[in-house]
Amino acid sequence: MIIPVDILVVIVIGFFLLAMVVGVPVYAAMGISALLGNYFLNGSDGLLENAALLSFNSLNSFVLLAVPLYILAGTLLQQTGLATRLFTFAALLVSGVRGGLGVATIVACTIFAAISGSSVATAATIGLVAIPALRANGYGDGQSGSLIAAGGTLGILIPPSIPLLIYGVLTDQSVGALFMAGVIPGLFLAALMAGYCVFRNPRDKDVAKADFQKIMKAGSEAWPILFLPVLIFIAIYTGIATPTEVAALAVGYTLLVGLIGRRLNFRTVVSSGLQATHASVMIFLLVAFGALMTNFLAATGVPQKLVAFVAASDLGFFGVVTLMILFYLVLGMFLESLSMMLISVPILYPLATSLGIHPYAFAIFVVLAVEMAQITPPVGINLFTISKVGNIPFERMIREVVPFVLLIIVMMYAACYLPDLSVWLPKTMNYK
Amino acid sequence: MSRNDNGRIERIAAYIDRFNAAAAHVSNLSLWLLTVVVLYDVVIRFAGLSTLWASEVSVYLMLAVAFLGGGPTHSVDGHFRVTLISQMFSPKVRYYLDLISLTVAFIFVVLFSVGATRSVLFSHSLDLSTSTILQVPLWLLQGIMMVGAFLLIVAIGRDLIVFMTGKNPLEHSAGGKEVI
Repeated sequence: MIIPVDILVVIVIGFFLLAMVVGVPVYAAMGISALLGNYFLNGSDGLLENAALLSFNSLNSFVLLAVPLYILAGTLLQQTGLATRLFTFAALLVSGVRGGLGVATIVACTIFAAISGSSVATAATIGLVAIPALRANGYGDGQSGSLIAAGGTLGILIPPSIPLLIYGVLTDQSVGALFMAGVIPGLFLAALMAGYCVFRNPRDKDVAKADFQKIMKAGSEAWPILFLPVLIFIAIYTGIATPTEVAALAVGYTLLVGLIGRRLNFRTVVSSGLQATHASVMIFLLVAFGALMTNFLAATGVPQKLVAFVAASDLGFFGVVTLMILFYLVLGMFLESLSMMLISVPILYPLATSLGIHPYAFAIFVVLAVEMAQITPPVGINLFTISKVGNIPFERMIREVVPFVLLIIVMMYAACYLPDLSVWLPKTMNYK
Repeated sequence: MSRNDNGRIERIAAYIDRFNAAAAHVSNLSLWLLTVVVLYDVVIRFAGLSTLWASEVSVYLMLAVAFLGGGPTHSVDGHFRVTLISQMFSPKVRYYLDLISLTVAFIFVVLFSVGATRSVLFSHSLDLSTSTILQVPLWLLQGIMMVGAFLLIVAIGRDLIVFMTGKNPLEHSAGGKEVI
């Protein structure tokens, strides 16, 4: 090979970034960059066949089956319109609390997050119901929009979570254990967000404290959506079903509830399937061609060199964690979450474990980084979603979302410094 | 390019759109089938029985979803692209940037389809099969990948043909929707 490896890596990453800036679909940008790199590294012998086989093998995995199934469950659930009942129940449950509607939004997001593995779906579904109620109670557009955008991010921290699934595939960790690792940090972050709502908001003018009977009535009307998270948690925690099987059960359950309650029909079922198909295919192609990039980086030994470089530096634990947070903050400004993970995890995972960060704790750290990316401009996909759903100008949410970004950063440090937050629950399931 | 040529290109594009819509339904059907297979496996297992074929078949169905859906997903602009920077430019500059981006994607997909085809031919020549209970011929599974690559070529090719009429097929597209 004529080009030194280090320079080749810079050229390939530079080419990848350039391709993305031009607007090449990310899967193709990853694939062609990796082909280019492997060509200069190993020559043209078997280059294309190996690329095809590597992509094929990266998708030949039982764990990945859960991705389309959780997406399908989420899209079906969106069609049922049960989110309205969920929000009504949440609002009554916390009606006595100062800033109760804000807290109710976070509670509704938390419950929906425990069914859906998607942050965008959580924000969009709850946003549709919560924005009018928040507006009616004097919450500013920016304030309510940022609250839902941030609450929506809980969708990927509280299990099930598609990013945790992908992390499991990338790092060869148990998806069931990773799902459990997200429970406590997810609830903790939800509590922090709810606490911020209490601190920030006045008492809601239209909401009177609901009595127990009213809450129970709303709960009984919302039971189909309240029961599903319980089912998912118990099934995964007790191990009676794998995360993939639980995903299929969730699809079956949602379909049944939707059809019995006449909230779904043949047309909505087909369109939900198509929506889930397109979303899953996008993820699958990123995984397939991201594997080529990962393979190239591994062949050049970049992750090991990075570990050695950091070990030789005087940065220390705090310095490296802070650098990783800044790295993700910048990366998240331009990349969508999955591409961000596919590029960064193979490089940073060895570094994190060399620092003594537990793989589950690092999983939570990465998912929090993804959450942060989803609410930071200019890409901030949740902000765009809420802007569309609630007809709220994007710029109005930017300042209001800052406290939530700070809360997520606090949680990122907590994930590294307090590993028991994420490791304790999986350990009770006998995972190490 | 004459108006007649433009009309012909638009007709070809419309045919390809219908073809992509059909492929999307095949991919969608695979998704529902895999849901049924996994559910069947769970129910049978709860009943104390076991199906040795179910997990294997469900993974093959997932491969069908993934590869056969590539083209249709491109046709609804469902693959993630970074459009933030290109949208800062005028429509004329954007036209050329989008043309370059599609050409790069097309080149990659063509190279990938060559690799996929060679893999299929290799597996077929050695009569390789999976080392699982069903022992499915490997060329058959890799064939799904090959067909998927061709579907992607058709879908991207369709947009490149539309460029010849002076229109930008990506002008009003969102650059993929983030789903997680």
